Amino acid sequence: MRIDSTHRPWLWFSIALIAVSTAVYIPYARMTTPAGSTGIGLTFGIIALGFMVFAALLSLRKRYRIMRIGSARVWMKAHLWLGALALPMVLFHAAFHARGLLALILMLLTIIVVFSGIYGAYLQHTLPTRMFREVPYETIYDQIGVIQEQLIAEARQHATNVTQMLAPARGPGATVTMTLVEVPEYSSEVAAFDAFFDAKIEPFLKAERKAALKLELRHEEEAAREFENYRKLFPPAAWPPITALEDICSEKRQLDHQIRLHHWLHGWLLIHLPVSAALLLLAFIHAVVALHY
Amino acid sequence: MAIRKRTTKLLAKRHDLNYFKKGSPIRTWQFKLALVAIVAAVAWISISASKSAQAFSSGPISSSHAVFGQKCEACHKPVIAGAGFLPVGFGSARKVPDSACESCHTVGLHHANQVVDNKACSTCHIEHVGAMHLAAAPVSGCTQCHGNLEVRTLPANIATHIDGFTKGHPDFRALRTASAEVREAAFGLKFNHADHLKQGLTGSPNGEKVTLQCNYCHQVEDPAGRDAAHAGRMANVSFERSCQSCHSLDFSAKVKEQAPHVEAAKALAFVQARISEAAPGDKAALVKAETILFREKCALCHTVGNIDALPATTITNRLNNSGATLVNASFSPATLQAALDETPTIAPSHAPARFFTAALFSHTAHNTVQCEECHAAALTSTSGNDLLMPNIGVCQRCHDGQSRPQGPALSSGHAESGCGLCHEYHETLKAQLKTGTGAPMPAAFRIDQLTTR
Repeated sequence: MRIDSTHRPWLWFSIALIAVSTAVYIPYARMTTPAGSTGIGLTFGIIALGFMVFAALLSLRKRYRIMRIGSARVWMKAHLWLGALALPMVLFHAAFHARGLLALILMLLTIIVVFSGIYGAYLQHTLPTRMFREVPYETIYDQIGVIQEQLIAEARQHATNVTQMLAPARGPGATVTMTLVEVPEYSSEVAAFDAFFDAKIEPFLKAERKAALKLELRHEEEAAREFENYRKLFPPAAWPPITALEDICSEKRQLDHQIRLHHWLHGWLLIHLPVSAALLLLAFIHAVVALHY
Repeated sequence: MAIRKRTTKLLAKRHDLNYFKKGSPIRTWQFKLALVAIVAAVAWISISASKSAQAFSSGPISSSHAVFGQKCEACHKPVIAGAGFLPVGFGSARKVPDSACESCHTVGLHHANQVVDNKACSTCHIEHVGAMHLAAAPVSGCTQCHGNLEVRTLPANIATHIDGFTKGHPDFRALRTASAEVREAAFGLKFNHADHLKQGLTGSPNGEKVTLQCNYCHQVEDPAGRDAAHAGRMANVSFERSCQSCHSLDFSAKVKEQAPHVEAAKALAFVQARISEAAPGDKAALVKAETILFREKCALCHTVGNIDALPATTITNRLNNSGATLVNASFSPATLQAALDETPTIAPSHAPARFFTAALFSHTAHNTVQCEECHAAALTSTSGNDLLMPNIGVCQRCHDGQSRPQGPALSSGHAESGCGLCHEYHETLKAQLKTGTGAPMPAAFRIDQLTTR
């Protein structure tokens, strides 16, 4: 989600809420010992818990998309801003102290959740643009494995085409007529290209992202130089499949990059989501125990 | 010519349309980790709850209640007795009733004139905020009433709009109400602080010049702080300890002993007894001795009654410091008899031990401050009736309202200004002031006891 001008009302709302809360908190803190159990402290705590619960409802909204309660964008914005506001509300509630082990853990979890969320919002603001710019061959993340298989098959086909084109007498489509045609002999070059395909292209296409990092074709310039060398060796008729192979490697490179960006884009959720779940559970326990005592 | 074609149709054909049924690895991990986090949270809560309630505590308890340790039930009582097993919200809630506090602490009404009921103890004494002084209640606990005081009958000189030590607190009552008569009754001494604080005073027993410091005469009565009523209180000045070394009570060269610093009648009896032993039947010697004692010694500080009968004009020289000589003087028989017939009287001094009427002040707590920083008027005071206690402005230089009870520490120069620093809410303080709790110390006489007579 991009943080754009449509967020401005939420920004003003957040500023206003923090300003009002501060205006309430300062005289309250000067008058008495601020604590979560006082009337004002309890109010801040209820607001904070309310924001947390609302932020958690986003996961339900995503799971049950068929329930059309507000647009996804509004839910996302509310999740973002109210979730972030939970932290100052918690600080006001706790009077900027973490007294007690459960309170300390809650405070730490809140900080982790809010800051991981802010980091996630930053990534979701910047990475899609970067993805659009750097991964023109972007595909559905979960389809990358399928696409990768297709790329390998396609590459094999192009490699066979190159071989057949330059060594027709020895290729599967060889005919007597063709063997009589006078063609330059490229047997050594074709052998070298076959070896290049077997040693570099195919392993690169088959490799997982991390394994591919160690391979030469990962570097675009190096790959371009290699393919250009083969184009120089072969007649122009063989260039299109070689270029296609280069393009396939480029697509594989982009898919690897997409995986990396996707991991950035969604990896923070591996912290944000579990910690949020623990936070919500412990916050409820904290509320129940606090009301009990 | 590019032989790879990337039309939308071709790209769409590359996809497995059932991919969404397989689930994303990242989502799977998110779910698994969330499950682990929840299980870990539940496990931690369960283990912590089985061991103690410490994890659920809203904060460390004050040091004075640390003795209770993990026994939450010592203070937190079920709202409905025996309902502790019920779920939350069904009467099982455990609150801290006043009775829990009163099982250890005996407290009384705040004031006989209060029109509102005492609030719950926990209103002012906030627990679970750390090892701080629990009695240091927030200022708001006091100002919620004293900010706009309503009483059945308003006593004189009571401020009704006090919002803090620096906001509406009147000057100290003794300074506002102690009249000249009260001061005379309270002190009754002719004493010149300015003279005594001069450098190089003469008159010491060894003849050396001395420069007196305040603490030569004024010393804290109970530096160790045995009880609240006496801790840090300045003791009354003792004649024997502080004055007698320079101001001896010698009354005759024929008697080596000094007169005792007691009531006039007893001192007179002592003089008569000693003179009758040293010079039997010598009325002139007796009159001279009485004259020296009462006119020259006692009257130096005290107002002596019937002093006119003593032949003041006949005594031309004082007993010198060594007590060796007394210039002879002649008295007529009538003068002698008249002098002997009259008994000098000395008005007793009611030097107060306390100047604050409803507050406690500890000099010990202020021992890093030089005396003259607060009692600056003492340097120029020439009358024993001067009330030399500093006014509230002097206190407010440090107790400036910036630092509140149980609040965060501020930078130096901002001493705490909470009401509880000087005042006590409950009647116990007044009881202590009246009776004195640290035997064998007597009750501390307060200056306001003169004003209310």
